[in-house]
Amino acid sequence: MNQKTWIEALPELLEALGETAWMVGWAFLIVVLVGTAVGVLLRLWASDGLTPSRGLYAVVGAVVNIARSLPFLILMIALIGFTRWLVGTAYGPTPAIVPLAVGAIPFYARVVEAALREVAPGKIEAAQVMGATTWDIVRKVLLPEALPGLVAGATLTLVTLIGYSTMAGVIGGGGVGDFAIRYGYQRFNEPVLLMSVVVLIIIVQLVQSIGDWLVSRMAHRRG
Amino acid sequence: MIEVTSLTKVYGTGDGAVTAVDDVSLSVPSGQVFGILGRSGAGKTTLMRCLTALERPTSGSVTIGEVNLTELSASGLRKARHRMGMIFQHFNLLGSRTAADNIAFPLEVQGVPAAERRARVAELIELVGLQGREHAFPSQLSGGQKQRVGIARALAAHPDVLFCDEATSALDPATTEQILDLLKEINRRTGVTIVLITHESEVVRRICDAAALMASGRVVEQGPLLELLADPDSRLADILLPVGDVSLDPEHTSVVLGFAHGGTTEPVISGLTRRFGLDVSILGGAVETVAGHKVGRLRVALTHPDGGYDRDAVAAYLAEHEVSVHL
Ligand SMILES: Nc1ncnc2c1ncn2[C@@H]1O[C@H](COP(=O)(O)OP(=O)(O)OP(=O)(O)O)[C@@H](O)[C@H]1O
Ligand SMILES: [Mg+2]
Repeated sequence: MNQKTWIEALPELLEALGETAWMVGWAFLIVVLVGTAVGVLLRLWASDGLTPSRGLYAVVGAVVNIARSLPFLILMIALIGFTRWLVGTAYGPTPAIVPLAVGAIPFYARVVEAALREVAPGKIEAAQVMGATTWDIVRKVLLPEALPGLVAGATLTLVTLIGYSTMAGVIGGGGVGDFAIRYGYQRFNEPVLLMSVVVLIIIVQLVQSIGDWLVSRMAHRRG
Repeated sequence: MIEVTSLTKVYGTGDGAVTAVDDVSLSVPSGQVFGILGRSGAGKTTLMRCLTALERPTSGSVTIGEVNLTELSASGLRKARHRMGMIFQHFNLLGSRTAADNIAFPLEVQGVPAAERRARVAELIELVGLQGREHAFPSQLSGGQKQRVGIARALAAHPDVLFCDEATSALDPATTEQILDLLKEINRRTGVTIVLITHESEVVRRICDAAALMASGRVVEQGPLLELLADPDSRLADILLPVGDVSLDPEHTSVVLGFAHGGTTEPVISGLTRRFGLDVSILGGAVETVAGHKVGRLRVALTHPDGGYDRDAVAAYLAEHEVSVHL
């Protein structure tokens, strides 16, 4: 069989990277927005939260837990119908955004909830005594004070999303995962497979380092 | 200014119930520095949490100015709180904000425009002596400086009353004195009423006009400090100006003399000897300047070589010299 060299496969890899960036980027954006909102609500509704609600906390908490306990591959397959309804098709980088976001939102929501829980109750009470509304406290106390934890959690989420995105490749989502399957699994082209592995490692390292750097820069100022 | 009526706070129910505040009534006049002294677990923090409505009392009411806090809606309570400031033992500053932005927080919450906020923050930085440190983050400040930020933040929106929960307990003695003097000066300059709780008698001695003593959830004594100190039987006075144990006096012949109105001890004591032929031995005592007045308490044993003496005459003589005693 006439195997491509890694140089010949490079343009295709770049294209695959572009697809990965597309689906991971959009999914990450959605996860951060929705996950933050859900995490804040969970924190507010918790029994020791600002607006406790046993019922809402239990219901949303259960949904989050169920979504988190499903393996991503299963979740993705289970969501094919929903994705097709939402995007029109279930195959390709854009539809892959749906399961990626749905899979990571519960995870990030719990990260946010845990990070907000770390904010000292005294700071919240100080704001309350100053006459702050719940919304003031969320915006000006909880989220800013928890920011290092939120960024660390977002970094972890982004790395996880990159991992998930390769699985999306398995069912035709495109991206680096799809590329690796085509060359490494279907054609046994190990040099090219190795190249995609190395590129993934570099990307993940880069994401982690940037996240760590942001966190340490914030922690340095705040002590 | 602040009226607390039959305030009770019970935590938990049934066998595990703890009455943290037990039927407390207090009256804090406007413009005063009012200290609530009590040991650990006496219920001071709980009482203060009820005063700021962080805790809902089990029964009783808290009125600040004209407003009954226990009857307010959530938005009414927020508005009432715009007239309060509070400082904390552990400062509770926001680590994500600079000193200046921490001070601006209550102004932001109240919707004060940015330009006005900046001007007010600059004023406050000067008031608390933090010039040059306004852009530092709390982690870059010492404990004393953090508490100065806390005080400036509490004062930012011109409150009528400033609550302090163990505001100096995390500070060393020299810094404690500076912060206490700052609070006193702010009270003099702005007329803000200050309610502070503490377990350190030094705090009450140094800056309070009036005080209450709390034990096991109850207020056992309250009143203007000078009056309490002049009262020979006052427990609070005995904590602030201890005169030694009764065990020093096995025959129980001793009495406590209170001097709180500029009376001086020496002529009075020699007078007791000269006029009544009494032997006076001093068993213990303390003299200090409190609220600008020299006050003292002495435990003395009064004996007469012939046995008894005319108690009424002695009491009248002491009263004439503004010395309180219960014979
Ligand atoms: N949230 C709570 N739940 C149950 N019991 C409480 C709670 N808060 C306080 N207590 C109890 O109420 C009593 C008074 O506590 P409080 O914190 O008011 O005392 P304090 O005078 O402030 O003491 P310290 O000087 O140690 O701060 C204590 O017995 C305490 O255990
Ligand atoms: Mg306390």
